Amino acid sequence: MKHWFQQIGPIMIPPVIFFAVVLLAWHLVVDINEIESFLVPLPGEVWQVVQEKSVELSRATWNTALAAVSGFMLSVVIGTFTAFVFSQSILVRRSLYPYAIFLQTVPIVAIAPLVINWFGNGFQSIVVVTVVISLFPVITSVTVGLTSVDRGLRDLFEMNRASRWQTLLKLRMPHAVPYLVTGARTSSGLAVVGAIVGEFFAGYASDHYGLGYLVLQSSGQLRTDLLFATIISSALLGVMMFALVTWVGYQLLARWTYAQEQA
Amino acid sequence: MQKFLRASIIEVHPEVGIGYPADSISRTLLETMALMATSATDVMIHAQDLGIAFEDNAPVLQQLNLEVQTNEFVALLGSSGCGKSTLLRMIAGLATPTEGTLTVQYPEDESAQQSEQGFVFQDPTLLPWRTVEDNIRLPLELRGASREDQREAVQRSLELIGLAATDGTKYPRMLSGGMRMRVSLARALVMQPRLLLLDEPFAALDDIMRQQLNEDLLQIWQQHPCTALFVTHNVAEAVFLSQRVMVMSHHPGTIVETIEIPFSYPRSPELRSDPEFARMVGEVATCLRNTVS
Repeated sequence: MKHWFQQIGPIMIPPVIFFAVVLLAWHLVVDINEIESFLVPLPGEVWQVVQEKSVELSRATWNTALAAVSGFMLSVVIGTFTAFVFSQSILVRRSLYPYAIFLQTVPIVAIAPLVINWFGNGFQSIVVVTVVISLFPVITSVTVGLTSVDRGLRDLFEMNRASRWQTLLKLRMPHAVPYLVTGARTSSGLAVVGAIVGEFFAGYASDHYGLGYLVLQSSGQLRTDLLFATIISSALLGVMMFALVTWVGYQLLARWTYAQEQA
Repeated sequence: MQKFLRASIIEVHPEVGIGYPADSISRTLLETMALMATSATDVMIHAQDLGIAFEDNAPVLQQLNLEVQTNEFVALLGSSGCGKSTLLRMIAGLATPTEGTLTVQYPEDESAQQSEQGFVFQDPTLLPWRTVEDNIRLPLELRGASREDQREAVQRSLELIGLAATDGTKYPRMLSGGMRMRVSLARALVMQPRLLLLDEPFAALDDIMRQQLNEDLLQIWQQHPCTALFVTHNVAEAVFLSQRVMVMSHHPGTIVETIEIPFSYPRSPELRSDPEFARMVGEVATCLRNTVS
């Protein structure tokens, strides 16, 4: 128990203290300045709506999480495969990279109608929008990982007459794993944003909704307390996804870095 | 009588400025055979008027002539940036000369497990996701050796370099700088190379560790003779290890002097306190200073 606390404590305590300070400051600013509830609700009011709407919030968070996780996993698979294609030659990279940047720069508002046209309203379109938003960091990170191998290591493989396939499997791919983890961490946060933005355009039916729908509904009704509760749910979902991906990355990179030293 | 199994030659015609490997062009094969017939049979590395330039830059090496005998230990000494490492990379086949001729002839041997060359880099260049044993095993894996051969060779290499069996399961991050360099040396030796190329392998180590590894390297070289070409900018190290020290100048790099080292093997650590050793170090250092002044 003590060991567990010693490990987690230094990570958890500072943000918890910071959160408490923010809550206190928020409460004092709203209370002292007598700000209207529809502009900025008190933390207590937000907490109250969280309790009242806990079922709706949980259901919406779950639906958004499903789309975010699906989109994120597709991004990792598609991004890794694309990076593998990019790493094959400079010519391929130069030819295709501008189109990868397109993913990063295209306004999702502009392509959302197309996505809905092609995939219909609901889950599929939300996942597609999530993939479009969260794909780029995986492509760039893994491409760098596959192509930035130290010259000494490349020379070592070349001198031992390694085939292209051996170099890829035994050198480039393992070398790219830490880069994949970095890209996936960035992508995991973007996936939640992507899922919520996707729900704006291609949301579920009113009896089967996600956080994006709740954001639209609460802002339309000037339910700022519910809007705050939805934003907090979104943030928590993003943090959870980031933490999960970080943990998986930690397990994957155990050989590279910390675990063996601790052992 | 030393026989030669295989030779590789790279010749460059200045007017066309391209190099080509011998075994791809029949004319070059004939030239190789002619060269083998005419050259002394115990010459392993032969370079004549060798030069290299990268794109439009000034040549890194120019008019470089060099001969290294089979099973000889030669040190290449020069100041930083004089092209020592580039020369080593060319001999290893990792860089192509833009002028002159470079021939590397490998002696025939009974053992099919031997490789032509091993290379020890300035950095250990270990794969961090592999254990010590798996790092040492890598050249055998890449060349498709059987699992049994791999196991035996790795064990032999670990013993040769003085690593305990328990060290084999550690990851590179768990090792000190000296230990990592030992693993790198073990990996270069695992295929029992006929030519061992060492590119300032101990430059990043402290002096005591460097001296210890120098002594270990000499011991290994005496137990398992091979041609060794050792690049360094440390004068005492060059004198302690080698039979000949080749001093390089720079801009462009070329060998300006070859100094015979008269000490017999085995060489003990006490040699470093011998007045004659100090005199040789002084002589080589003066020669090196003249190249930069």
